[in-house]
Amino acid sequence: MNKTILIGMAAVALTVGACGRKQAPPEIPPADQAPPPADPNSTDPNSLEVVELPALQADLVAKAGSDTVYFGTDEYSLDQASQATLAAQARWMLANPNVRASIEGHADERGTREYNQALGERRANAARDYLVAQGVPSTRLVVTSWGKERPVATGSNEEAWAQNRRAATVIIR
Amino acid sequence: MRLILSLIVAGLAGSAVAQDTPQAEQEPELVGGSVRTNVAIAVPVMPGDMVGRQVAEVIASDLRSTGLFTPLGPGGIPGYSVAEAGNPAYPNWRNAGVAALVSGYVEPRADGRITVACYLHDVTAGRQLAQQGFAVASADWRRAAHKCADLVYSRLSGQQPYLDTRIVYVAETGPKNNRQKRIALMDSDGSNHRYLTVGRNTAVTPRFSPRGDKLVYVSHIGRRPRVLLYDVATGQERLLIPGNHITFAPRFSPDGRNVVFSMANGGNTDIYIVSASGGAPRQLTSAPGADTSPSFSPDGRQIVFESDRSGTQQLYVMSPDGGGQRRISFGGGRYASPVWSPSGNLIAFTKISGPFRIGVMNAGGGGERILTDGWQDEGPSWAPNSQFVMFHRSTQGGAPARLYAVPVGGGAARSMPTPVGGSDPAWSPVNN
Amino acid sequence: MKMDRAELLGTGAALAFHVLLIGALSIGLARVTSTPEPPSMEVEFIDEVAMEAAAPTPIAPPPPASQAPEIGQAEPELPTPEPVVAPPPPAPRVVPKPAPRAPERASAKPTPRPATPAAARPAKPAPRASRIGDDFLKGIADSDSTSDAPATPAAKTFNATARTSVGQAILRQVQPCADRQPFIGEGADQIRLRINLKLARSGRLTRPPTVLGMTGDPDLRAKYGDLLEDQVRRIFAQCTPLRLPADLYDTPTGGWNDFTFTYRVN
Repeated sequence: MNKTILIGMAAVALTVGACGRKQAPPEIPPADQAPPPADPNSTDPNSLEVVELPALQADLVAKAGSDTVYFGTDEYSLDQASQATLAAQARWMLANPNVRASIEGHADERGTREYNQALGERRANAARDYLVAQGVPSTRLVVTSWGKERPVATGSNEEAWAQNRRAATVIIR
Repeated sequence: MRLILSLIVAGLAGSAVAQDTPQAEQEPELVGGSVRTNVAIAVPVMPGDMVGRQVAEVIASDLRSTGLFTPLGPGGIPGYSVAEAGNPAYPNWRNAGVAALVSGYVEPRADGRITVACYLHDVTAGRQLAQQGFAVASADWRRAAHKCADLVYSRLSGQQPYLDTRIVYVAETGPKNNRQKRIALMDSDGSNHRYLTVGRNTAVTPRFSPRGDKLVYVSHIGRRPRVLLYDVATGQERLLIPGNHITFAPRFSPDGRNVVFSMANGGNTDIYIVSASGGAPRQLTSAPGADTSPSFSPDGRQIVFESDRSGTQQLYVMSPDGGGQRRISFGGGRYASPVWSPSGNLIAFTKISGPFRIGVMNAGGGGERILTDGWQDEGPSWAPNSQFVMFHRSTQGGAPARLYAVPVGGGAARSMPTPVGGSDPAWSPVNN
Repeated sequence: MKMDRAELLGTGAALAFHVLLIGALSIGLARVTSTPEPPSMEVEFIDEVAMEAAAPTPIAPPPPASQAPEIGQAEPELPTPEPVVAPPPPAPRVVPKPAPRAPERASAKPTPRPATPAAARPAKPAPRASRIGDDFLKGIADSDSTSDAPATPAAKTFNATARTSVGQAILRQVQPCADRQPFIGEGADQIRLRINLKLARSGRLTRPPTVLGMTGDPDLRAKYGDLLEDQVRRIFAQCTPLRLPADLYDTPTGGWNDFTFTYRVN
C-alpha cells in the first residue's frame, strides 16, 4: 500500500519534473515513510535518523557488481575499476529513482582519527561527484565520512588496509 | 654577621692571603645531586574511622601514579592514633627508611559529613611540611583522599595539582570490525566510572569545557559525524550547529564561550568557530586541503591546527579570527592532532614517521621531543598542570586501544585504569 | 555597608579572636594554616586540622624495633639513624690544639651524643701543626699523619684562608647528603639559594638554616624555592654534626659558628 503511493508519487513527480523545474509539487502529501525533510534549524539529534534499505542494497550489489570502490593510501582519486563500478551504480540509481544513497567514505587505521574523518569525506565526495557526472541527481545523494571507525578488515597489514580504504554506496530511504 | 663583616675588612686590608676578592665571589657553593629517584613515602592507615584505610589506599595509589614516589602502606606498616597524626615519631620513620610521611585522621562531624585531616611530614628533616583539613559528605571520601594526595604531590614537586580530576574518553568494546564506541567518564584513578552515551551511535573525540561542566564530542548520528554539546550534570545534549553538516574535531575556547571545529564539504575540510550558546558559525580557514584538530592557546590568542595544504599533514598557528596562518612544524615526517599545553609553552602532537608517536614542541615551534615509542600512539591530551600527556596506544591486530599517560619530562608511559579499551582521553580541570 | 549592633559586636569579637590567633600563631602555640575560601559544595577547606594534635598529648612510645624490619623497601637515600655514628671516611677528626688551648679541648670532647662511642672521637695528642697554613685541614683528613711545625699559640686568626678551608670542610662533609637529593624539576638548576647556618660547638645547627636570598627567574623561584630549602634542611639534618677544628669555632675575626654558602642543584 505504502509502496504504491510512493511509486505513484515518484511517477507523478518524474512526469511533472520532466516538464520543467518550476512545476507545483505533487498534491498528495508525503507518506509517513518518506524521508522527513531535515529541519535546518533543529538542534535535536533525533531529527537526523536515516533508514537503510537492505533488500535494495542487495539488489544494487547484484546488478552493479559492487557497492564499494577502493582507494590508494592517502588517495581519493578514482581508478578505472572504481569508475566502472560507479558507472554501474549510477545506472542502478537511475533505474531505482525512489530511493536515495548515502555515499560513505572510509580510511584505514594508519592515519590519525580526525584527519581520517576529512579523508573519508574526500573519498565519498569524489565518488558522489562521479555519480552526479553520470546523471544521478545530486539531491538523491548525501555524502558522509566514517573516518577509520568502521573497518571491514581487521588485520594490521597492507591487505586489510587496502580493503578499508573505500567509499561505499548505501541505499537509504 | 659582625664577624663576617670583620672578615671582609680583614680581607680587604690584604692580610697575607691570596684571595682578596669580594665576599660573594668567594662564598662556598654546595651543589645538590638531582638524583632521578623516587621518594619513599609512608602512607599508613588513617585512624578514626573505617574509611581511613581506604583513604590511605587512594592516597598511596595516587602518589604511585605520579611516578615520583614509592609509597609504603597502608598495609604492612604501623598505624598511629589520632593524637599522633600531627606529631609522628620521626626517628622511627627514619629507621624505617622513609623520607616522607602522610598522616591524618577521619572524624564524623555534627552535620553528618566527615572531616579528613591530611598532614605531610619531612621525615629526614623531622618537620611538618603541610596540613589541610577537608569536610566532605561521607560518600565523597575519595575527593578528600585525592585532595590530600594533590597536597602532598604539589608540596614535594613544586607543581600544580592534578590528581583530583576526571577523565572522559571513548570506551571501546567488541571486535575490530563491529566496535562499539561510547563516551565514558571516570575519576583519574579509574573509580566512579560511568557511560554517558548508550552506544547506539559511534561516539568519538570528547573534550571538556574549561570549567569541566560541559563536553563537546562527535557522534555519528544519521550516518554522519556531528558535534554535540553535552551538559555533564544533566545529561542534556544538542547539536552544536543546526542542519545536516559533517562536523567533527570540536574544542572549547579557554573562556568557554566558543567552540572551534572542522566542517567537511565538497571534498574540503575547514575550521570554523561558533558560540557555544548558538548562532551562525564563522569560517576561519579556507585553503584547499584538510584543516582540522584545532586547539586554542590558554591565553585565547592563538589556535594551533593541522593542515595538509602543503601536501602532508603539518602544524600551523593562526589568530582566533583566522588571520596570520603560518606553519610551525618543520621536522621530517607528518604532524597531527596538536594540543596546546595549559601552561602555554608547549604543544603536544602525534608525529607520524613510520610509527605514530607522541611528541611535544615549544609553542613557537622547535625544540621537538618525542615522548613515546609505540607502534601507533595518537590523540594527545594534557593534564591540567601540564606535567603529563595522555594518549591512546593501538597495537597491531584486533585488540582495542588502551589509554596511557607519559610524563612530559620523559619517562615511561603508564597505562590508565579503564575497565575496557579506550581512546581519545581528555582531562578535566582540577575539581573544586 | 551598614551594620547593626549585633553585627558590630560579632565583628568586634571576631577581630579580637583573630588578633589572639595571630599572636598565638606567631609564637607557635597553635598549628593552624590559613585556608582559602571554600570554593564549592563538595569539598570544604576547614581551619582546624590539628584539633587534638595541638593539645599537649604525650607521644606514644615508639613501636618495638621488631616492627621496623617489615618495611624493607628503603630507598638508597636512607638517612643515617641517629643512635649510630657512621662518620664518612674522609671526615676530618677534630684534633684539639696543644696545651695553651686546653680549655677548648676540654669542651670539645664531651659532645651531647650519648650513644657516641668514645673511640670515635679520640682526643689525639697534637703533634701536628696548629699554624694555619693552606693545608691545615689536610692533616685532619688523614688523622694519623703529622706535620711537624711547632704549635703556635697565637694562631687564632680566622682569615680568608681559614674561612675557605673551613668552608670546604663543611661542604665536603655534607656532600654525600647533597648528592642524594632527588631531582626537583626542569629549571630548578637555575635557582641559587644563599643560606646562613648557625652552629654550636658540637657541630650541630642551633637553628634551622636561614635563607638569606634567592636568585633566578621569579616564576622558577616561586615554584622551586621551597623545595630547594627543603633539601638544605634535609642535608643538614642528615650530615651533621660536623667535625671542625674547635679553635676556629669562634675567634675575634670570625669562625664557623656562623657560616654562609650558596646552594643549587644540578
